[in-house]
Amino acid sequence: MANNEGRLPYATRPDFKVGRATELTGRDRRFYRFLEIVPGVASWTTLIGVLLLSNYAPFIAAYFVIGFAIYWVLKTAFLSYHLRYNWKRMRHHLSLDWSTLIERFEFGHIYHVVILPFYTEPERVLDESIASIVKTQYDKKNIILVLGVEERAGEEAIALAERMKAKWGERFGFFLITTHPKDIPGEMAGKGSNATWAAEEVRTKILDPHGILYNHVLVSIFDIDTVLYPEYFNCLIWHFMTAKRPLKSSFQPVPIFNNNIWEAPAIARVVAMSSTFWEMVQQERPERMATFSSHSVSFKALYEVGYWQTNMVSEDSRIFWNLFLANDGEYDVIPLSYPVSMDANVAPTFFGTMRNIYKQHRRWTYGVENFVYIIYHFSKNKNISRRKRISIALQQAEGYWSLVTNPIMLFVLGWAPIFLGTKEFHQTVLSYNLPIIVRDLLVLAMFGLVISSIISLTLLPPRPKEKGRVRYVVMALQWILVPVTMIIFSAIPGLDAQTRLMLGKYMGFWVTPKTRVDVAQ
Amino acid sequence: MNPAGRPSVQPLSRLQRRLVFWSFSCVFLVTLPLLWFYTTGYRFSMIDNVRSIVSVGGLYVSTDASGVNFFIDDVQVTDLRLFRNATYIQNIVEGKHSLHVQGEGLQTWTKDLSVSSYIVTEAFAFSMPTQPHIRIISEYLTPQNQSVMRVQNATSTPFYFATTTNSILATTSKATSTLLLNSEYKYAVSLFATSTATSSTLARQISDRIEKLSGASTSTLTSTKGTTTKLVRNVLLFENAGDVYAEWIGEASDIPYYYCTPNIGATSTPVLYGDHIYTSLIAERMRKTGETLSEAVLALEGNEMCRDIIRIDDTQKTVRAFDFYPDSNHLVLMLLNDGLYVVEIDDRAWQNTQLLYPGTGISFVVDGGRIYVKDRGYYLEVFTSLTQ
Repeated sequence: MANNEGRLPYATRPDFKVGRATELTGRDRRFYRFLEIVPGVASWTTLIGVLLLSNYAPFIAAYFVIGFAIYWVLKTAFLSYHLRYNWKRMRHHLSLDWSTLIERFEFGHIYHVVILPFYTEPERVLDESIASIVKTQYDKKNIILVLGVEERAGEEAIALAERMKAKWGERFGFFLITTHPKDIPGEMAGKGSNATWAAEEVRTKILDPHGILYNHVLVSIFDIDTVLYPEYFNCLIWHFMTAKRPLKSSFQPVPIFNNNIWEAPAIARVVAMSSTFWEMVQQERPERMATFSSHSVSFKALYEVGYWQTNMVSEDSRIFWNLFLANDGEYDVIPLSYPVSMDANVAPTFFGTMRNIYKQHRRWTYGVENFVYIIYHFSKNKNISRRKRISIALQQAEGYWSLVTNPIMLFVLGWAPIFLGTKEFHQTVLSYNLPIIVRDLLVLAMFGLVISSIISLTLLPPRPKEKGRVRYVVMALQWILVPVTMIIFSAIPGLDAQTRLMLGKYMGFWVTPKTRVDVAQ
Repeated sequence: MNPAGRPSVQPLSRLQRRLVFWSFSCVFLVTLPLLWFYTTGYRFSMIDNVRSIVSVGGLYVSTDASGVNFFIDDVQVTDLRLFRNATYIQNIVEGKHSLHVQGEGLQTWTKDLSVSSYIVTEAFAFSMPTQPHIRIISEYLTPQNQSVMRVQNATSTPFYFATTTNSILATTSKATSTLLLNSEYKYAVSLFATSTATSSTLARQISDRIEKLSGASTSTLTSTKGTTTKLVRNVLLFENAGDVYAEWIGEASDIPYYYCTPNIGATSTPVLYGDHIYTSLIAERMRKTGETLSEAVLALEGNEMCRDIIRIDDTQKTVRAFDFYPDSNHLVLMLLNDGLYVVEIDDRAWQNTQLLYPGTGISFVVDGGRIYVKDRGYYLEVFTSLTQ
């Protein structure tokens, strides 16, 4: 969308959709570049600082490590409390008959635009996702299904979209295939640019010609592997109709990465479930939420900011910050506490899976570019209350800093004073007690994993016949891998992403391969 | 679903979340100083119904022996933190404590150790079998792999005082036609036939160092088979004027703990560590600096006092040979008049001396982590634990 028609005032700024420092000039460019450096420097300074402290001031380092271990235990308990509560709420939401709940509302005028951008994913993945939409208990005549094809994916992708349309097209009110042209200047190849192209196509080809009002349209942007639960749209409508400001809200389901969980190796399962759990925790503290992965939002709100950014990686979260800033901070994320199923990251080989998980998490943790964007625009948009700006800035800073540093400090550098400390330190009771206390505290923290283990078992899809019951035991015990996965698939890719941003080596969008080869449903 | 058409399980309220957050914050604020104080070495005491905060130290006792019990001031310690080859004993109040390490079938290791508040005192305990455990290396083996031992009288064995770990066939017969030659025997013979002296270059370097340090001429050193100077991981073992010494020749920062004591003054040091420690500290300083006695006493400063050389206790017997205990630089094998002993270098309080193998005319060789003994023409391997 080249012009600023229909945009909110703040969204018309030339720097509103800045993706990186190089897109700016002068002082703004220098400031943005400085902000890009900050997260990486903060994380590296922390990690190196702990090492130096352990060597030169081991007593201070030891007291810090003990304090940090206590903090970790309490943080684990705190998050487990939220997780358990959301699990209870999600199960309750799954048990509800949402169609009865929404009977009291008049919502027949509301259309759902479901955008499914895809690249080269296999037909089976598309088919199952669309089939799940068809199976939802909602009037499909009010659903506009959009398959967003990438031109760079070639004729095969277009042919696949046509086959899908031929198979499912009659089931929906509208079925639109959009083809995102390759090599549009200023765009980064990725989900955001495809989705934005698709949204504008919907507007010009369906909404405007049919006189559908933008504020009567809810857009659900789903990853192509998203499988809906039957009451998703009913649940969404209920939350939309009861929201304080429905047109100024995004609606976030819980992504459960369990479509292919029975085929995934243990590490992939733990990583996938951990991501789900994090989203479940966030559902109980919406003021800290940004949209993530599959979510829904009113078309009007999207139109007012010119849809998703096309020049950066983590567009799923960025769209929330676009909306938040354009609406002067008067914008919410409403947690649905209702799940959508997605694929765990599985490749044909174990090492392929590990590599893909790493790359996927590096892409996710590259969301640190949003921190830069937020702080930059907080310095520009003074209509947002100072308190809100400070609160969000601190939350975001703590989030990206702790993501990278906490696991490494706890499981690796926590022992540094013992190995690097001075001779005087090694003779003390403190030196001998340090590993004992830290170990005991970590064991205590591991009890939080018991809750994770139990909850994860309840989120499993039905066991395929070829998988033995013993697999349940393995799935319960797999959580012992958490310290490893936290470092290898959270902290290190996070540090990698922050370092790239710090050095100005900007990342491109990496499409997670979907290889549901053995799916048996 | 509640009557208002809302899900009955509502999101966590802000109030509820704040309550939980502040509760956890309070737990953090209370726990943090408590754990800081605990790990530093403070304990809450209720002795005689009097509440007080006491400061404690600890003991870290390494040992290769398994199945041993630890006693402090004759009370068995049950609250042990076990590491791989060591035991950490916590909550010991400041002062001198008697530590015993004993196990069934093992000699008791005992030491009076000084414990300071907030500080962990290290020690290495060793416990040799009360009855020597040996393996006889005979010249011949039976086809059933029994060691054939030629004796004067088949009904009695020369090693009645020891436990043999291999099967023995005692015989008066000299016939060997049905027997197999034992290649290990040949190797054992060669060990005792070969000088155990270190290479000439190293020996010269070591001798130079001894001369430099002790002021003695190398010509005065008695150097017989098995009593040459030895060097293991920066500890030099040498003999001078009939006494054996262990000298640390590595970096001062790496010196083993038992070469040093906390600097607690001229009055307390002899009480807590023994007169010999204090006098050796003073003597070594005088020798190195040329200071007078009073100057040396006044000059001892800093948190820690260290000496480089420790004399190995020979229990006033003649030292016939010495070597390092296998794979160790803190235990010494001393061949005295009446047998082969294991002696620790650590001379805080006293040096534990344990008999490994009795005998008057024996000789020994340490080779590849094993101790070989030649006794009355027999070659044996002597074990240092019950498990072998």
